[in-house]
Parts: sequence; C-alpha cells; structure tokens
Amino acid sequence: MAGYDGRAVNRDQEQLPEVGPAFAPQQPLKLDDDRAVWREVGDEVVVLEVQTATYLSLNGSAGALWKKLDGGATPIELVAELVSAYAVPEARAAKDVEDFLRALRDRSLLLVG
Amino acid sequence: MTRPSYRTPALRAHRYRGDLPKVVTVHDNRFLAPGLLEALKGRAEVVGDTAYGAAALQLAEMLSPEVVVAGELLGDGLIDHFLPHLVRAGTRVLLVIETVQRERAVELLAAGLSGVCSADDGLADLAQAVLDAADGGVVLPPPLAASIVAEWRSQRHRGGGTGMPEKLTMREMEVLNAMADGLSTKAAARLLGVATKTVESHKTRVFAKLGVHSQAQLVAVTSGRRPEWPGTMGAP
Repeated sequence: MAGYDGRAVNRDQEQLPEVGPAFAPQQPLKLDDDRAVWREVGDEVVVLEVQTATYLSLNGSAGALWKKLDGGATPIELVAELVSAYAVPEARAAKDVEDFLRALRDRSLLLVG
Repeated sequence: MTRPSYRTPALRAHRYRGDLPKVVTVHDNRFLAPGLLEALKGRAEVVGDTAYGAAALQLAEMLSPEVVVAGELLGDGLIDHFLPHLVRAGTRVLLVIETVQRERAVELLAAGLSGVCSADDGLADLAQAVLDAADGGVVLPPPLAASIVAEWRSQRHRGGGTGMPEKLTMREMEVLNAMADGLSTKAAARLLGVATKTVESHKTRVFAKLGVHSQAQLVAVTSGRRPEWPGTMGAP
C-alpha cells in the first residue's frame, strides 16, 4: 500500500536481490511509461502498475532514482545522484543502484538501451 | 544545507483486488489504517495512508478510492480545506471525529461529506460505515441523524428555507397549487379563468421566489407542505 513518511502498513516488503553488476555504467535506461503512472506524495513516490493492479511506494532515495529515470539516465548518473543527494559512499551507492534497477527490471518497469 | 539521512532505496508493493472498494486514510492516528486493513479484509482494500490533506488528495486523484476516511485536524490543516477537492476527485469522505457536534456535522455534510463516525466507535463499526459509504450511503451516528431530522422537520413546518408561503401573492399561490397538482399551463389557465400568458408569468415569478428551475423541482420542494390559503383550490 502507499504509505507516507515511513508508515509501514503493508505486509509485502520487496526483497531486493544481492547479485553482481547487470547494467553497464553508461547504459541508457528509462522507465516504461506504458506500464506505470506515478506521483509524488509527500516525500515518497507512489507508482500504480496498471496491468498488474499493484501499487508501489518508493522511499526517498528510491523516489529520487525513479524521478531521475523518468527523464532517462545511466547507472553512473544514478550513482552520482545518490552520492550528491545523500553523501553516501560511492561503492554503497553503486550497489544500491544496481539492486534497485534489478527490482525495476524484474517488474518490467525498465527500458534498457 | 543538511542532507536527508540515507536509507537504502526500497519499494513496497501492494497488489490489490480490483473487485473490492478502495479506501485511503488521512488521519493523525497511525493505527487507524492497519486496524481498518484488518477489519475490512476481503470486503475492501485500504490502499493508502497519510497524515496530510494534500497527500491524501494526490492519493485520491491517483488511486481513485471509493472512500477517504479522514480526521478533522490533518498535518497541514483542517479537513474543511481539502473536503471539496476530495469530493471533486470523485471520492466519498467519511469523517472520524472525537466529539460529534450537529452544527459542525451539518456544515461539512453541506460541503459534500458522506458521513461522520465517532472516534470511540469500534473498528468493526467503522469498517461497516466505510462499506456503507462506499455503497453511496450517508453514515451518521443515530443521535446526530435524529437531531438533523428533527431540525429539518421543524424547518418544514415553519415553511422555512424557501420563505414560502408568505412571500407569494394569492394568485401565485393558486398557480403554485395548480402546478403542484401536475396541471399544464393551459389547464391551469382554464381552471383559474385567466390567459395562458398570465399563468406563464406567475409561474416564472413563483420559480424565482422558490429558487427552482422546473415543475418537477417545484413539486419536490412543495411536496407534503401544500400551503393553506383562503380561496385556493383544495387538494385533489
């Protein structure tokens, strides 16, 4: 369910996979507009997956990546976004971006190339 | 400028049943949404929760819930400010409130509220109220409903609201009664022994005075309150 300011009401926590690099650093990526509509709600991004009747709520950092992907971005730009917005170490940002992109790809929300 | 604290990017997914009514909660009680989620299980889906009216409006516009369950004082202002926008977004709004006052409830009902529940009601009662509101019903605690109906009855007996019948002339009252009986303009003219045009002009003035735009509306307004007026026609 769509939460706000960190309220955990829903029971389905998405498990992000822990695996090696699947996206080249300069690979252009963007969101598949046909599969989802989204909106910023407070400090979260809420996504409605039309075909699967599923709501996604993204926390702040995931929302920042989502908004960046909306206009098209490469993994390296996404890492830079996290580093600049949250002062997170680059290695951790790279791993988190990778995991997040995999999660989006698994939901068929990502267009690659 | 301080940076926001970092949390690993995460998404929560909630698959909903398309055949169930959808509910969004906007309330400062953060236990309301999980409680309703359980109480409504299999009958409706709580799909969104926030403490802020602006966020509730965005959720309503995006998720098209049948019902928004709202508190009175939200994180960004009173529900009054958000109510018309939520109603325009096509959702029904149910207010959960500590103390239910008649004047306050009437004011919000006039602005489009679909019901009022006491915060002291159990979750099962609240869940039922949500389902009733989703069905298009107006939900009121019985004492409040009784009080509103009593006030309405007393207004009807006083002829209040529209100000009738004292503001109508005798001829206008005759025309009004003829229309309330369902007579056509021609038939009314024949009955009153005046020209059709005269009836038309009386009719226009009666509509204006009573604030109605059609004979059907007029019959609805006057239904059950035919004024006694010397020299007018009796009831059929």
